[in-house]
This record gives sequence, C-alpha cells and structure tokens, in this order.
Amino acid sequence: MTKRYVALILALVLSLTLLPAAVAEAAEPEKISYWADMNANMAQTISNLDENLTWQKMQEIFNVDIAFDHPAVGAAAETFNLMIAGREFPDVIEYAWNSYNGGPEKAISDEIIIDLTPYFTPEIMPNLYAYLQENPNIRKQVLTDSGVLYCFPCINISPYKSTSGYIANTDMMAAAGVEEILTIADVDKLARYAQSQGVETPINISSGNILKDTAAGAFGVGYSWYIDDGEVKFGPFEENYKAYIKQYAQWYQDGLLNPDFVALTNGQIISSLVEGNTAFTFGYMASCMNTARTTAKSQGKTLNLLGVQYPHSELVEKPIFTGRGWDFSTTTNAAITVACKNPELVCRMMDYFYGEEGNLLKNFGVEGYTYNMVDGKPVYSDVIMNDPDHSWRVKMAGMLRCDVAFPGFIVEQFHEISFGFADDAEGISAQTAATWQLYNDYCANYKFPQLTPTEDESDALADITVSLNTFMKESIVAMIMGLEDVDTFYDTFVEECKNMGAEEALEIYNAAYQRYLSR
Amino acid sequence: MINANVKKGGSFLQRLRKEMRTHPTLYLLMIPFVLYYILFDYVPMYGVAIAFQDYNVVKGIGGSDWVGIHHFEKFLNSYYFDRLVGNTLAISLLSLIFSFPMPILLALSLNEVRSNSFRRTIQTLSYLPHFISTVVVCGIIRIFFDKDGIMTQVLTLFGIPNRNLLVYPQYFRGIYIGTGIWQSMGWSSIIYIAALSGVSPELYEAATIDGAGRFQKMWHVSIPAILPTIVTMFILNCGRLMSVGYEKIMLLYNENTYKTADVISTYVYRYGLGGSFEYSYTTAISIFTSIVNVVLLTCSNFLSNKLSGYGLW
Repeated sequence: MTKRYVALILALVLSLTLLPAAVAEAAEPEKISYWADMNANMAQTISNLDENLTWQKMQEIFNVDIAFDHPAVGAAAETFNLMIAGREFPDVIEYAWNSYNGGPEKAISDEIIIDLTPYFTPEIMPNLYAYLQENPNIRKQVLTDSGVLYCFPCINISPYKSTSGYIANTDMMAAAGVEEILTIADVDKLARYAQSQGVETPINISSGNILKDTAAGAFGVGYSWYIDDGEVKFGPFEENYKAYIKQYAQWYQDGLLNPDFVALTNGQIISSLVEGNTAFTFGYMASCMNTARTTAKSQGKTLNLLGVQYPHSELVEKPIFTGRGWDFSTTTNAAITVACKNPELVCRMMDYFYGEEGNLLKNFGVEGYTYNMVDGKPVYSDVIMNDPDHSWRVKMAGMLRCDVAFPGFIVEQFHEISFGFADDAEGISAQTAATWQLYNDYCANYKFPQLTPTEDESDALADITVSLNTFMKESIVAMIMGLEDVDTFYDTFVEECKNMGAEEALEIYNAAYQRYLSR
Repeated sequence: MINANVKKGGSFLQRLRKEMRTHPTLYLLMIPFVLYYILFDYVPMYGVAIAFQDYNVVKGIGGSDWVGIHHFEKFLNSYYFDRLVGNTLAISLLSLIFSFPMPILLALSLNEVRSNSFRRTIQTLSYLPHFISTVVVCGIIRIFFDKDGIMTQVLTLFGIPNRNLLVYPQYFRGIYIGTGIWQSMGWSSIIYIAALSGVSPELYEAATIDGAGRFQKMWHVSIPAILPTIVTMFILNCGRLMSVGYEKIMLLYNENTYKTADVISTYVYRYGLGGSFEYSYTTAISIFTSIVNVVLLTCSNFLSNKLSGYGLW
C-alpha cells in the first residue's frame, strides 16, 4: 500500500511540475526577430511591420511573437553592411541575397545565413516544395548552382511580366495608314508620315531605353550579355548589332529621333505626347501612357495612345526581347540566419505564404475586411481602394505584403490595379498590357539569367564591366549622333571592347551559365 | 598670440606646461575640439588599411588578406584613368579661376553699399541657393537649359543653338561652374564680409583725407585687409582640387557628356553600382586623391609664403 501511495504521490508531484510547463508552452509564443526594409509607402501609415495586418494574422496563426527591426528609410544597404560587419544577426533577414558578393552560397559559407535544403522537404515546406517541383524552370532560378535553397523566394506568377513597352499615337497611325505596328518598317513609316505633318520629335525615346535589350532585340541581338543557342553572347560581337545602331543613327540623322534623346526625362516625354509632338515612344503603363492620357483629358485635348508590340526588323521573325523580368524576383528575399534557434518553425511559417490561404493573406489580407470574394475571385475592398486619406498603394503597403518583393507570389490583381484597368473605360490599358506580353515566353530563351559568379569571378567582372559599360554607352551614342561614322568606327569599337576584356567577361559568364544550366 | 607671452626655451613639453599654466581656460576650451578630431578623424584612420587588403566584411580588417599596392596599380592602369583625372582637375581648376573670385567681388561691392536694408536683402537673396537641395537645383538647371528654357533663350543671343544644352559636352563645364557660382557665391562671401567689417573706419578716414577715391580705398585698404583671408581660402581650395563631388554631376551628365563630365567620384559611384561593394578599391582611390590633394596644398602654401608672405603655416 505505502509503495502505491508513494508512487501515486510521486506521479502527482511529477505531473504537477510538468503541467505548468506544458500550459506555458502552449501559451507562450515563440520569439522571432526579423529584419526588413521599410519603404516610404509603408512608412506613411505604419512605423513597424508589427502593425501590418498580414503579419499580425501570421503571428496569431503560428503563435509566434515577431520583433521587427527596420533600417531608416533609404539606408537599408548601409545598415545591412554594419549588421554583417558587427555579426549580430536577427533570425530572419530580408535582403538582395542574390547580389551578395560571391553569391548566396558565399553568404552561407561566411556563416551569415543557413542552408535551407534540410528543411526543404514535403513535410516541413509542403507548399513551396510542391510548387518548385511542378515548375522546374522557376526552381532553376531559385536554387543556387549546387542546388541549395537559401531563401523564401518571391515569385511573380502574374501573366503581366512586362510592365513597360512601346507606345504609339493611334490617330497618327490611322492618318499614316499604319494599321498595326509589328516591324521597324512600320515604325519608320509612322515616324516619316508624322514628320511630314510637322510633328517635331516623332520618335521620342530616351537613351536609357535605346541602349537596352528591348531595343536591340528587334534585330535579334541583346544590348550586351544575352543567351542564344545555349551559350552567353555579347551583342557587339554579333553580326546584326551594327544594323541596330545604324537604324537609330538613321532616325537621328533624318530628324525622326529626338535629337536630345540623351537628356530626355519621362516628364518631357509626357508633355511631348500631350502636345502631339510624339508619335512613338517607350514607357511604363501608369507613369507614362496613362499619365499622358489623363493629363491630355484634363487639358481638354484628344490624345489616343495605345501600347504596341515590341517591333522587329526584317532580320528576324520575332523580337527576341520584351520588358519581362524573371519569375523569381531577386530584389529582396527573406533568409534565415545562423542566429535562428528554431529554423524549422520559421520554415513552416514562411511556407504558409505559398499555400492558398497564405497567398490570400499575403496579397489580399482578411476576407470581409480588406477583400471580398466576387465570383470566386478576391477583390480588394474599399478599405484598400477608397481610403479617404491614402492612396491604394499606401494602404496596400501598410496593411498587406503584396506590393513589395516578399516571400510568396505576386498576383495579377496587383498588376491590374497598378495598371489602372478599373479606371480605364475604353480598355486601352488592358489591351496594352496584353500586347506587351506577346513575346514574353520567347524572350525567356534569350534573357540573361540571374547567374551567381564566384567571388573571384565577380571581382574580375566588376573590373571589366564598369569601364566596358561606360565605353559602350558613350560609343554607341556617338555613332547614333553621327559623331562617329558607324561603318568606319564599328570595327574599332568592337576591337576596343575586346581590349577592355569583353572576351574574358564572356568566358566567365559562360562558365557561370553552364553551372546555372546544370542546377 | 599665445606664443607671444611665452619665452622660447626648454623642450616642447616644458613650454607646453608653462603655457597651460598661463592660460588654463583657453586650453580647457580647446579640449572638446581636440577630442573631436582625435575621435572622428584620427581614430578611424586605421581603416585606410583596407586599401592595401582584399577586404572582406566578414573577415574584418584583422582577417582580410594583404595585397599591397594592387588596388592603386589597378586604378592607375584603369582604362579611363587619364580622362577621370583630367576632367576632375579641369573642373576644379576652372572653378578656382571663375568661382573663387566671385564671393570676394560680391563682398567688396556689398561693402560699398550705403543702404543697410538694401545690403541685407541682397545678402539674404544670395544665400538662398545654398539651402536648396542639389536634386532640386539640378531639376531647375535641367529646365532652364532645356530647349526653349530661359537660360538657353538668353544664350541663343550669343550664338548658341536653341537645343537642350546639357546634351553638348562642350557646354557641360560652363553650366556646371556657372550654376555653381550662383549656388555658392553668397554663402562663401560671408567670411569676406566678416573680415571687411573688422576693418577700422579710421583707415578709410585717413585714406579719404589723403585724397583717395572709392576704388583707391578699395584697392589700398579693403583688399589688403582681407588678403590673409583670401590667401587662406585659396590655399584650402587648392587642397581640394582632386575632389569634385559626384551628386551634381551624376544628376546632370549623360552618355554624350561623359567625355568632359565623368570625374573620379562619379566613376567610384558607378563602380559601387556595378554589383559588389568594392571597399578596398574605392578606399585606394580615395587615398590616391587625398595624397594628391595634400601635395597640392603643400605646394600652394609654399608658393604663397614665397610670393605673398602669407600662408597656412
């Protein structure tokens, strides 16, 4: 008997001591520290991400207590470097890990962030695991050369991957008898007609948008580094490159291209569009095309603009570049640092964003509050769209995580709102957006991928590319402006690129690309 | 002045102790400033070590590999070295020639103005541009020098084409320095105005009695009175010849004006944007420019001592 009592009492005592511990464990949320940039839009309504709706819900769901730390607005890079040098890390850091010198794997070997591959299993991260399994192309972008997962990626699943493109004045097109702009010859015809009608600067494109893949792509080459036939190519070394420069030089010489194209701002382009001095330009949907349209409307002018497809020359069948970005956005990505005590929990938590509920929470917030389901699709409510004090962009930044590079998916609804589909009764924005996406998939074959050079490689590349970029810009502009004759100067130009180490850089990029292919 | 009271003799420390005993409060007042320079300008100087290293943030200054003068060689051999140094010196020298005399002229002419309220208004107006942020100033410059811009229209009277003048490499330095004068003339004149206000009126009276006119008074009284200030400012400016800030140039240059506008600081800026932060390389470039600046400062001080009898030391 006594033995049994003793055992009973012992058991009771033991369970009593355990009980509070168990209760406390359930109630006491796990503490996680999290470092993320705070942009100017966010800073208008919140001072800390703890006040962000999406993160508040996340902390409830996973019973965690996240302490957010933010650098001062605009000082993210400096603060990050100090943090790295001081070696005092929070548990999670949002940063452009892909551009860490030597690549993300170097950040792992420098013992800053950890390799997430051990947690990248169907049990711990079911959503992301399944998604990357189904999308091998995106998996290749996200993982490193040796197949390591280092971050919770931000993936653009919206069909609107190209947010900028060429814009034409449709009234001038109709008058010129150009039904559709498909080729460089169509652009030429439109511009020449416009010029004959007294339009001052028919082709109004800034040097930044001429010295770019999207312009060179019409001739089947990239502006500098691009992919063709499974290897990295350097534009100036390719045959058609000369035709690309010659075309713009011709337009400049004939007075079709704005002679001040090197000092052209978006504001100048907009006022030129409104004044009817531009027939063809390059710009963004909201900040260029739609701003020009609303400005014209407010001034009582008629201005009919439409986005046209990326044109191509007779040298190729299709344009090889559009304004598309990669599906995996490398702007900022969250990674777990060596300081984190419970990486598994963080992995489970972040994986939620790649599931259906988490995706809604990240991009739309809470049903019945920030969004409503209409015909099975989430639609932002008035809380976001019609706030009396703040724009939708500021509300989104403060309440949700849909407008910045953040773990999870970027969805089409966000682009539709930023493109202004809803305010556009004529449907010009929607038509333009669709046109600009036409060759996105084709472009993916040529677009230079986000390679990760090793530390030595990136040092060598920095030396070569800084001077080379300066030289290319300067020389091409000189050829376009007729200060150097394209035919006589071109060979010297290519030779000089070689002297500056373009061939060496090409080799480095090719080695990095081979590693990329074998991911 | 302190030296005047102390008899020379004994070692440096002995003399210092003696002086400190004579003027304890002055030395007390000096302490914060000496501390400031030690803490913020001398202590961080160990950081120049990274110019001779392959500096890595994670390894730190203690752990990074030493590479000697590799980064200096790299800069001296870089493709655009001649042009960068040439442009930097050209912009600095032209500024020295055209911008440096302007505040002196402004101070001298304001000194001649009798009406106090008029003088104050002019002074305040001339300070204003100093307080406008560079980004806004460059926005204004872009509009003024654009096609049909107000400055362009004025300049067309002198045979300059009515085009966006920022496109032309030959006008870049003119625009940069001309607007620089507008920005800084008033602010820089303060020191000369202060020096002129310290001139004893008796000197002017004596000159008037001797029959000196306005310009003679300016030449024989005002200018000699501020000459030490002018020389000091001139020597200090010579010590900054190799440093031209990047902000204003970055905001005004373009692909076509690189050949006259690209300077060392803008090159360093672009290098930083080229991907990785190249701490060692950019530190090496800063040290290079500092060394040249120190040499120029010393030379100009030496020459000034020889020619005018004034100098910083």
